[in-house]
Amino acid sequence: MSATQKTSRTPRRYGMVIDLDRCTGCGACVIACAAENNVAPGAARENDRNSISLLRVFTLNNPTAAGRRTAFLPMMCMQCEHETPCVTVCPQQAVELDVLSGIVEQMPQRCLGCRYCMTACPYHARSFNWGDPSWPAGMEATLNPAVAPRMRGVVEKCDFCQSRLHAAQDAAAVNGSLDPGIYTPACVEACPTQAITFGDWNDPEGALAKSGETFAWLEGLGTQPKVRYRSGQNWLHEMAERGGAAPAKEERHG
Amino acid sequence: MRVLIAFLLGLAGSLAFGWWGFPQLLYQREPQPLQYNHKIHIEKGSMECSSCHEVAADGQFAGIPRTASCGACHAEPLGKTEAEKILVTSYVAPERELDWKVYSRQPMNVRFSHAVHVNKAAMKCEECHGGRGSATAAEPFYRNRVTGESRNVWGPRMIRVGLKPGEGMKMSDCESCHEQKGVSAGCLGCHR
Amino acid sequence: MAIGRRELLGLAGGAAVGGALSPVPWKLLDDSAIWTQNWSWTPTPVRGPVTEKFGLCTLCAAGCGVKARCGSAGVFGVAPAAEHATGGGALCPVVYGAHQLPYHPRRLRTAIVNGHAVETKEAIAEVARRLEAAGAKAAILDERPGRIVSALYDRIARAKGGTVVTLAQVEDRSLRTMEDLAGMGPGTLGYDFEHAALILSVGAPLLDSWGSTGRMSRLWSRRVETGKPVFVHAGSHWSRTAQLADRALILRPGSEAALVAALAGKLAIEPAAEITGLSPASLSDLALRLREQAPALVVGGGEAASSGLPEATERMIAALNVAIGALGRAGGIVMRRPLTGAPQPPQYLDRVPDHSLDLLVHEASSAGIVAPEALLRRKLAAKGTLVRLSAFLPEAFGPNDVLIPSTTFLEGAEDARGARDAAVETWSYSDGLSSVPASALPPAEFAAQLAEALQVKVESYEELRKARAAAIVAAKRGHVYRHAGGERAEATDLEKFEAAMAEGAVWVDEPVEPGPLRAKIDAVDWSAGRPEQPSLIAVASSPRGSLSVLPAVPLASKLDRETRLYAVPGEVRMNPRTARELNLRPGDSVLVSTPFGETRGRVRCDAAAIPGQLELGACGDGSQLVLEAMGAAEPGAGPTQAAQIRRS
Repeated sequence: MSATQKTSRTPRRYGMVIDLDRCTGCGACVIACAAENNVAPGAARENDRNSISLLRVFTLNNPTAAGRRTAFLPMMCMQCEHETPCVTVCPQQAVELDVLSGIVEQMPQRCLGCRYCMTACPYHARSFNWGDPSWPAGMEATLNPAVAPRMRGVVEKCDFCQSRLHAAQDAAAVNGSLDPGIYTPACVEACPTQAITFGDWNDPEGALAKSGETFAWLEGLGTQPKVRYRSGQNWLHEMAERGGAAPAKEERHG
Repeated sequence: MRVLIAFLLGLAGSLAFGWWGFPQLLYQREPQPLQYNHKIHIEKGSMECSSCHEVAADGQFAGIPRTASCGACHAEPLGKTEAEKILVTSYVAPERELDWKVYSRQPMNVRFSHAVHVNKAAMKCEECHGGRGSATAAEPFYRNRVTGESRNVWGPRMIRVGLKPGEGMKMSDCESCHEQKGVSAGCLGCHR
Repeated sequence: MAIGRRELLGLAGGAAVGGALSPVPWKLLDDSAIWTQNWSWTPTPVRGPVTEKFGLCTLCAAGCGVKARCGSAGVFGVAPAAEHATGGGALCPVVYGAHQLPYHPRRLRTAIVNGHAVETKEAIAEVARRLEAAGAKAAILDERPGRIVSALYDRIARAKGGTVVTLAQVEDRSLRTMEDLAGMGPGTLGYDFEHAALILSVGAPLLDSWGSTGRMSRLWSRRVETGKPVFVHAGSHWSRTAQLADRALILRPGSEAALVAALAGKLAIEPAAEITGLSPASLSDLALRLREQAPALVVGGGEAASSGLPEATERMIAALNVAIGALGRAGGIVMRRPLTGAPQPPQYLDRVPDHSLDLLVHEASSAGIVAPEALLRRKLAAKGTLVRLSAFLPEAFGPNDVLIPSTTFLEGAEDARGARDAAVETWSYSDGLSSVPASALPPAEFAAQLAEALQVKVESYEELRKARAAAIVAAKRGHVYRHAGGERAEATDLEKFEAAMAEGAVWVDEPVEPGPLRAKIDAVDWSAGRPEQPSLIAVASSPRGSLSVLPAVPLASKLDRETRLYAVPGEVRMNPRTARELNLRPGDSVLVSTPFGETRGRVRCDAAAIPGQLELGACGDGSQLVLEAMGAAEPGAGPTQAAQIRRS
């Protein structure tokens, strides 16, 4: 963010509100995200700890008696705005907060693979390419032409489907504007229950402003995430403050 | 004295290699599939760049046109040249695509929006592509053996000073223009 | 001139200084940096213009409309077609990765007869020979009846004295019992979920890939806004539907009959509460709400990855529906008109006597259809032939099998009728968006070639499709929805109808005005036994689309192994307390056995699992063994099975 930067248009602060009461945990967003962003199907060695998932859906179990027993928590990069942890720690300046879109941008070309950002991220929203991306023979034909596959040894994360933002920008430019407007990321498009609302926090008339009372996961950290949640269930609000359920004593060592 | 001569010989030798031999080794000349004459299309065909390299209504840039759009005019040979005959018989009729070597092709991780630069910023094609549009023949294409990219990305000479428009399409060239005009696109504005 | 050490050093020094002043090091540094950012072995997408086309998903019977993003190399992304009559702008998770299925490593590229690769023509001739020899003991298994190709199958089977059969899917199980009791033909009833106020699912996976995803998702979304319908789930394990339902009642395994009998007032609350393990208050409350929160309806069926409820319980559920007035009422079980121009509905494979077939031709073209291998094999006589038209090499095949390579997602011409449980029939077709591989036969092509080899005269696929389109237009019912313009039009002009359908439109029939229907429920036996209580039960659930004989979509690994959103294939998930009681540790190799089969896996402990439950991952490779152990091939075996586990 240089001071001399000329902003020829009103900056946007793209963000999301995810309605946890609508999420059925089907995982359509997870697959749509992987297909859109040229994430390869998991190799045999990949599991929940070392795989690449720009978007994950966590299963949350209600520790209290009130409300539904289970909820599902879709979590991608939260696009933190204040003292963005990954930006602060990156020794390579491979991560930056874009002033025009509010998107935390990850540059795989600059990344040296130290994974400091993965440690710093409070949401575990970053993945490391432990191996070269590879598809079964012939399946390269299904790659999205607007997204470059990342190489081995770099970190990647959700960038709100930058390629779709690019396409929206191109379409706007034809009409003489630089403003991509509100486009649709892959997960938003795929959600069968329309649990995810994508919009601009700067727009007082926009969908996000109208989404009512929202909360952030781990709000207390003060990183001001632009991905926020909504739910009518109290236990989810409580869990969001702690970042997860406090494990019961007997399960802690299980 | 003999040491000085040896030193100068070594100096001259490696300078000669570096400035003359090395570029020959580094770049590999690749033929274009056809001798294309931009000038004749513009002058005789009274066409514009955008007649073939158009930006669609949704902002997608067509890039190199597909054979089908050549076929719109060249269903039959329009002249007596050998290239004309090859175009019609080997490409247009069997609907085969031409394997053009693209001088300005960037690596996969680079995103360039013609819609933003041409439609919005009203830049002329020549500002980046130089006089390519008025060339009478397809100039030789040189591929960098290390990067696999076109020599035009770096520029025609080893030393990158005094580059004219259309010479050099490296990130630093994009950046200097952006700096001059005072616009920034962030990292992912130009990368993907 | 003598050259000494000093001269050589001078030369080297000069060369070094000259080298530093030449572009060699600096240019190489720059080039190698660019090289390292673009490894040549990293796959590069093919550049080119991007277009959007409408296609038809054929992964299950619902036939949802999809919007495919096509680049120069083919389809690279799938998105829902907004407002599609069956998809409704929503798709199942696996569809978003289904465009990769054509490149699956298990893709079948040659026909196989008796374990040997042969030319497809030879394989078809062989099938024709065996079909001719089998006579009345031959059957064609049509997974998605009501299509154009179904008419071809019908013609072939009838010409040679055989039959066409289909698989009873989870959505069929309750509806077919009701159709039997009401004396109505197969496929004449559907659920009107949209107008229901309360939906009670007795073990049915209503919120887990039931029917068409779009429909249930829309209902689910609407529920958040309007509070209706209320989902109540009663089942013996914490299935996904139980987790999501507004209210979930966890029954003792096998006590569904007692619950339904109590809700119908045929069993006193107290003993029912004791059998089911529910509190008397919750039972009587539910019984009351079923009557007062009208319109309510009850859905049975069991889990997709296991078997349905016993037929006696299904009959009770049908009778309960009649008792609460759900039959023939808006918001209940409604009549629907049979699809215009469709052939006679086939009979269900599970009702065919065991070992009665010499030949079974299985069109295995849909990953979303649960096809238990054990069920298919059991219907065949010893040395019977299983012919499979499939795009993929199945996990297992017998010595007598014939395999014929077929098409998969978005390849070749296909048509689809709507989901089995829909309140109205729909129909759409597509010519396919991807090119058909040279070795593959689309189902219509297979049927045509088989008919030719058998010298059965049939019309061409195109003729039949045109005839059906003409019949629909002539019936002057329903409407056509076009995605491209997002508009509805009446189906009155054949030319316009065909033009719209070719672009991926969908024809939607007019609903039947709900009216009273009758069903013979007097003979329903209400006796509810007291099931034994096993100390361990095995449960299996998974996203649909991976339980057929087809392999899972490659990206499905993101849903199980990589995010643990669904049970992981090859894992046995259990509560740490259960593991301790069984003296098992995470990672132990175990053998889980049920009365119907056994399957191996590794122990995974998860505090969220219910004590006493072993959750089996039924997805992708190995899922057929899980299906077998879960008794999926045994109609009425119930959604959970008593299980035993030991280290292996």
